[in-house]
Amino acid sequence: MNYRMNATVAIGRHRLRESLIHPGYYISLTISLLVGYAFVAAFVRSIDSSGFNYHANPLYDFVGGVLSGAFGSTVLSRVFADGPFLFAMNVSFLPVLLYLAMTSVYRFGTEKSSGAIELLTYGPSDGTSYFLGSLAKDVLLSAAALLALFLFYCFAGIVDNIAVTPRLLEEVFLLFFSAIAIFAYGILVSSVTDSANSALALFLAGFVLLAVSLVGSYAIVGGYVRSLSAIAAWIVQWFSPFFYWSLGTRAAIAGEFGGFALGIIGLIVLVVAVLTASHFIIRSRGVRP
Amino acid sequence: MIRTIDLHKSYGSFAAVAGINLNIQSGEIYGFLGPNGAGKTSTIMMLLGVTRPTSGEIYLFDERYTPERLDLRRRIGVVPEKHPQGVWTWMTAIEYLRLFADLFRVDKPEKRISFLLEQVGLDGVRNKRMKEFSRGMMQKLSIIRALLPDPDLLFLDEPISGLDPLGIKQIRDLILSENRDGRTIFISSHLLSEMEKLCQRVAIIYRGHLMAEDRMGALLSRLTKDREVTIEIEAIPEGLAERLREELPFVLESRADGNILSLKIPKEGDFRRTISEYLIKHDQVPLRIQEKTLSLEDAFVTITRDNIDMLTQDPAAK
Repeated sequence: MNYRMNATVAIGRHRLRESLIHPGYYISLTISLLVGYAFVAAFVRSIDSSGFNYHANPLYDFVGGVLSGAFGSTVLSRVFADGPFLFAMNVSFLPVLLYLAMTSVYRFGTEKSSGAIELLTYGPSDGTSYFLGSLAKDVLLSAAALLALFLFYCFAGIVDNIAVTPRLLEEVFLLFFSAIAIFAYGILVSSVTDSANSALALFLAGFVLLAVSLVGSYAIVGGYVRSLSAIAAWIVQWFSPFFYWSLGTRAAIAGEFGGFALGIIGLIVLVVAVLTASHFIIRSRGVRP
Repeated sequence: MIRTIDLHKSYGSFAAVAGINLNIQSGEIYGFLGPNGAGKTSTIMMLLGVTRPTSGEIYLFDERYTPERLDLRRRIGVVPEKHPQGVWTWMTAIEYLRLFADLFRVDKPEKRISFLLEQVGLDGVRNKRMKEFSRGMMQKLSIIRALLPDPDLLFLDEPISGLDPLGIKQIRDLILSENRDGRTIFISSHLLSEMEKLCQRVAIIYRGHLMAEDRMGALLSRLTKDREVTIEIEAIPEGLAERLREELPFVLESRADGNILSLKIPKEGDFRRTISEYLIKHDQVPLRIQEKTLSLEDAFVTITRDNIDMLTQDPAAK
């Protein structure tokens, strides 16, 4: 094992341990599971003689209204064609994803300004190994959370007699790679900022911008707003994990494996590109506070 | 051990380091002095591989050094001035040291950690959380961390600042003991009296330039123009100070203060016997003759304020 790989493993192990002895991860995972439970339970209550009727439950009435308003009724019917799990998986993963990404970005900032990263990199390690170690921790914890959610939905499917289709597993893979891309953006943001607050603010702004641009690409609002959001979405989409996630999800719903694979490949390419850019920025700017 | 050739570091138009040539031998304790903003930290950061030189070359262990040479960085131990505050406070001393043992791939880490903890008297607090550590304990822990991989070269930045007298002595003894074991030590500090006790050679950096680099004694000797000798006499008769200046040609200045006679004499030569004979001849018994020597602190002030031109000249050319 070379020095950088060794440092990545050592720092990753340390960060993983740090995360596991603090309650934050468990709290966010519990919230994720509760959100998932709420969507599954509400779905069961929304089934009437004609099948799934999202007006039958206040939660789905709200969600259905938002989804059909933003993406159209076709998307809405496709999302729930296989039951609640596809949608629930995406929404319930958000608390863990945001917790991991935001705490990492904030942690990078505090460790940078306190001189901790510099101390770690005095020896046979560098800024890149520090960030890769943290990324490894986030990847492992998000994989564990996705596995926990997947098992929970499988269990819920058995209990509520709702079929769990392979699309849910495909969605898990898409979410996994999308999460890695978001963590990679967290590293990029941390490498160009000098404080924890500015890093977090920039990360959240970027996250919202990318999410809004995705909605913009679907939005069926009219006139000026539509033109503006469509142009912005077209420019930003190539750099957005949400675009590739959306590409893969739509392909998974339609049963097109090629499109699903393209979404995964797009996410992997994005991760490599963002991490490479981060590496050169860290190399040039250093890790000094 | 460390060699730099025409090392430069610029931040925009500001030259923090302007052509520094260092040559540090294996096994020595080397002091690196300079006022704030002199370029000390910039130089050290380049030597540690944290920043890149704008131009110039660095050789460590006789090999060309760049920040990518992680194999060479593995052989360096670093004790920063301040340990990062507010992070890793949840860790115990042993957990903290294990992290760095992993990073440096320390062979038999538990044995090495126990040995070092025992050596500085911290073995009793190995399972104590770092947030409960005092400044002195933290400094010792930091030194242990730096010594974990048994480095060939140890960088210490203000190693005793903020410590109590006992802590200072313990750290000083540890540094000297490590040096006796053959470790090369590079110390940067503002506490010049302590540097004088520890360092065999010192360099003084000022405004990005290396103003002086020499063995401690040689450096002080180069800076000394005249010497001051103080002589204690039971009672100084009136007019003795003036007579001494008139009758002894090497006495440049003289004055009496209570029962102490102070004479300024040239840098070269031993005049104690002549002075003693003169005093005895005039019925005075010198109880004590003491020469006031230039301290590193005096030298530092002299170099950075008054003698820049003198020190930039090649001593060999004089």
